[in-house]
Amino acid sequence: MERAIVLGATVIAFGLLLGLSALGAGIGDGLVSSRTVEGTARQPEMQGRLFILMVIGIGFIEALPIIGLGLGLFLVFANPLLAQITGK
Amino acid sequence: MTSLLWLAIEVTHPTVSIGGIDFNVDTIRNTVIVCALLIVFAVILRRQLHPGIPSPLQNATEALVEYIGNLTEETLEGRGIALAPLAITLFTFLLIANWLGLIPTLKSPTNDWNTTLGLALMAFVLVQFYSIKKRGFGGYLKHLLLQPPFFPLTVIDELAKPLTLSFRLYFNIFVGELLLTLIILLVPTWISWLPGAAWTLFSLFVGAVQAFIFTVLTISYIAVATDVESGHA
Repeated sequence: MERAIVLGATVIAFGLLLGLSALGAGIGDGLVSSRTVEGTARQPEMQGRLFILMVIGIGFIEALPIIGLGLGLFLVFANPLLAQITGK
Repeated sequence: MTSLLWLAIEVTHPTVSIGGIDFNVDTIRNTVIVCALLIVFAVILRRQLHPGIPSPLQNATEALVEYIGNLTEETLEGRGIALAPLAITLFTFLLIANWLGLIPTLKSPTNDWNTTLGLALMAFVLVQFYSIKKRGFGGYLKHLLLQPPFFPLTVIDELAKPLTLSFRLYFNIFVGELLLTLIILLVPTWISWLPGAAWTLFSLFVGAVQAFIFTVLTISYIAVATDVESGHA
């Protein structure tokens, strides 16, 4: 019973973690890209530099949900909470 | 060995214990492969070097070296620190290391937290070293204890830098390779090349971007730590 509760709660936590972090990162990616398009439309000669800045920004943003995914996979597959219940 | 339940994907590294310390054999092997590749590449490049029209390989390498070198010098302008060789080495090593995992049967050295944490700790030590060198030891302690965000927050800030730096690179590569394995295992074989190829292309892109970000962040942490004049360091 305890095992089932812990497993269920872990999976719900994993879902929330992935969904919310993807939501935030999606909004962030959208903001960065839209501002890049605006900047390029205003000053087309800056396109090269803006694109590199955009890629760096997206790299930062995308790292967050991926860190979340990594920690979430750790929670699900090497469950430290479950180990506490079963006591090993 | 921890494996991902019924799929039996190994997510831990095989280790050898020497003198009470565990060594991740596959990570060490792959790091050596990356170093060997870079050395072979450098030797080939050196043999092609001649006056006159440069070869395409030489052109590409010069563009890379110039770009990263200029970026480093712009970031560290007026500080009297020459770190362009470090930045270029870091970038090329991480680029090859991140891409190595996309070859079947091989894994990235950066697929292991120990590698990325080691590199991030190197950045951390460099930041502290240049900070002390710039301010003097008294000034460094003063900066740590008496600067506005104040003692605990400044220390947490300094410690969080290598942690996030290493996590960012490690999880990007780790999850990238894990998803590649999952695609191969879960998607029916007759179509699995399509998402596999798409994800591999994306991983190439992510690997390059993360290598670049790691390099740029290492340099800009040092730039921030030695920025005494503008006062917000």
